[in-house]
Amino acid sequence: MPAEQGQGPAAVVQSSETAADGTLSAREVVKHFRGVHALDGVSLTLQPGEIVGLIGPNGSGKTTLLNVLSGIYPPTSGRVWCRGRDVTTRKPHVIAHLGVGRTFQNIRLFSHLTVRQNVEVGSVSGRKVEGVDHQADVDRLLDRFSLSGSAEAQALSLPYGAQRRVEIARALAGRPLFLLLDEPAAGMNEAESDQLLETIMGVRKDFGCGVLIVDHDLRLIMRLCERIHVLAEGVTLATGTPQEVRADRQVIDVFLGDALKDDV
Amino acid sequence: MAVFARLISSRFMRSVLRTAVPLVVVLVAVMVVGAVMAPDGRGATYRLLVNFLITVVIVVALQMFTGNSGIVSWGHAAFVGIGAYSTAWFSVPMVIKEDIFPGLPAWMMGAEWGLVPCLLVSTAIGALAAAVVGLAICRMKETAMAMSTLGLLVIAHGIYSNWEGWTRGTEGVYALPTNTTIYIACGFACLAVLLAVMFKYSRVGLRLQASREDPLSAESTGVSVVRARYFAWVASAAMSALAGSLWAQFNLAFGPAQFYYAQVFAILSMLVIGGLATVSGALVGAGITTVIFEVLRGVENEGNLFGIEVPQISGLAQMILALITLLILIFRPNGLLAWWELDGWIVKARDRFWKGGRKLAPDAGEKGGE
Ligand SMILES: Nc1ncnc2c1ncn2[C@@H]1O[C@H](COP(=O)(O)OP(=O)(O)OP(=O)(O)O)[C@@H](O)[C@H]1O
Ligand SMILES: [Mg+2]
Repeated sequence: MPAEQGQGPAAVVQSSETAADGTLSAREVVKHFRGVHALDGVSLTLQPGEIVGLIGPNGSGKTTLLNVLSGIYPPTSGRVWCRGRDVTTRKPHVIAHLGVGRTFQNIRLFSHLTVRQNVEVGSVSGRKVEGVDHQADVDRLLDRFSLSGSAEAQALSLPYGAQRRVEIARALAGRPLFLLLDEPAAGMNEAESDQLLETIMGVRKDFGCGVLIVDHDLRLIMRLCERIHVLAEGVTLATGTPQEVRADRQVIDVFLGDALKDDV
Repeated sequence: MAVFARLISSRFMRSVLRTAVPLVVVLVAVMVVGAVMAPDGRGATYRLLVNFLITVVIVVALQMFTGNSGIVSWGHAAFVGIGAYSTAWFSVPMVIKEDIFPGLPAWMMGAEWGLVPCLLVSTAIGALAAAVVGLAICRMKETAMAMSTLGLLVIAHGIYSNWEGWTRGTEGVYALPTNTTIYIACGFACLAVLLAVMFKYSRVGLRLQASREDPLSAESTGVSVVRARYFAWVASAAMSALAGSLWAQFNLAFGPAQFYYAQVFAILSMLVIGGLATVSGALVGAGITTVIFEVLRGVENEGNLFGIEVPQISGLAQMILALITLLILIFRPNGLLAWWELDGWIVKARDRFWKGGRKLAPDAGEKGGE
């Protein structure tokens, strides 16, 4: 956890440029770890209701960008804006309250709590909305992700695929406007990844949130996303529709190579 | 009020009652044994049982913080001490107070309060002290936090030992009135258990447990980990001070040595043996440890274990307790009860007894369980 920043609400200032927009965005974000330039000036904007893919080779900075967007790391330079507020140095829970939910590349559940409690923590700690019935919401989410049968089991006792679903359910329970998914299809076979595609489509339709999804499964990304953002070595290589990205010479050379021809 | 109504929703109440009722039954049974065996409120057994019930309050208070946050506190004995000294300030007869507490201001000198006001003022002072030090401690990282509670213990001991005008230093305090009976001790033990169970299943308790499991993903889920820890810290310190007050009004004389390493070790052992994560574990651990101590004290004093002659060794009880704690940490690191409250174990035992009967129904039968 980053250290307490000690800033009052005064630090959440409104910018005339962004006050009206309801997006989550990274502006020229740089993140260095000692010598490693994990991110070197990346800008990305996520609108509610759109599905954006974030792809790139291993170590290109995808997870780091998600961590900066969700407040886990303060960036070395650059800003992060959420719904018109500068949240660059705010703690993760403040950003979660503003409507940013996420999952982790290596699943991070509350292992010894029950599946229901995992989702419940999300519901009672997420974005504040008047008149929420937490229990009904939790029940509905458990049902939606076929977890009702294991609601009272400890999260760590579930098989891998079910744990991934718990993580998404927990993030959705916080009523996010933006959902950041870090390799949700990792370790899934084709059928499971198709299922996941349906799930994410359904989430966008029913919850209306913007989804930023990181994955190496290009088949999934190309079918799911309206827009794709390609990272390589901490810089943006290309952005655009799946068609544009697929046609981009640089992308093909540097990263996609044969994978595209085979998979798509 | 609306928040309160939502909190006391049906699932919450059901969970609380299911967990708290068996524990309350055990505590009341202890009380009945004491009341029957020693109707005059005297004797070694009576003292043992009352002290056990007070110990339950102390261990349950520590469970509220350490069990739910996963951060070991070495400093809670300091709050028990605050409760005990505060009680002495407001309850020792004036004539004696002028002699042993020359530093007290005049208005406190005259105070010769009874049980309830003493409990209230002790709890309030304990909560206040915790609220102040918690502002610093609860912002630290997990390991730093545990270390600083140890510092708190040492500082508190230094104050109790040297603030002559208010504590009589190492010579200790005496002449407190006997106000704690077995009924009162049992009442507060039941209250402590009920509050701890309610806390565990409350929103703050749930958030705190989430932070114990994974502070980073708890934060990302919207949990203010610092705030959850702070709340639990103050609540649990207040309950510790309450226990200190009850204890002081039963044991009547004490000194700074009563709130130091040996006590901290005993309390933590109880929690580790029973299991940190559950309120039931706190109670079971307190029970087992009390029995072990009692048996071994007999050995220490008389060189006799169930009629068998053994050599007398001083400090034997401490050593054996340390050994048992180590064995538990090695072979059952989550404690005897691990993650399930007594009611969970009762259900498990019942299911095993009726082999397969209820085991498959109703949850596992549903689809989607994988
Ligand atoms: N906490 C950290 N400390 C030091 N270096 C880090 C840290 N996190 C990431 N890095 C480095 O930053 C670079 C980008 O890592 P990141 O995890 O963001 O890549 P990624 O695109 O998510 O890769 P993958 O596809 O393997 O998940 C890597 O070189 C990595 O070693
Ligand atoms: Mg990654």
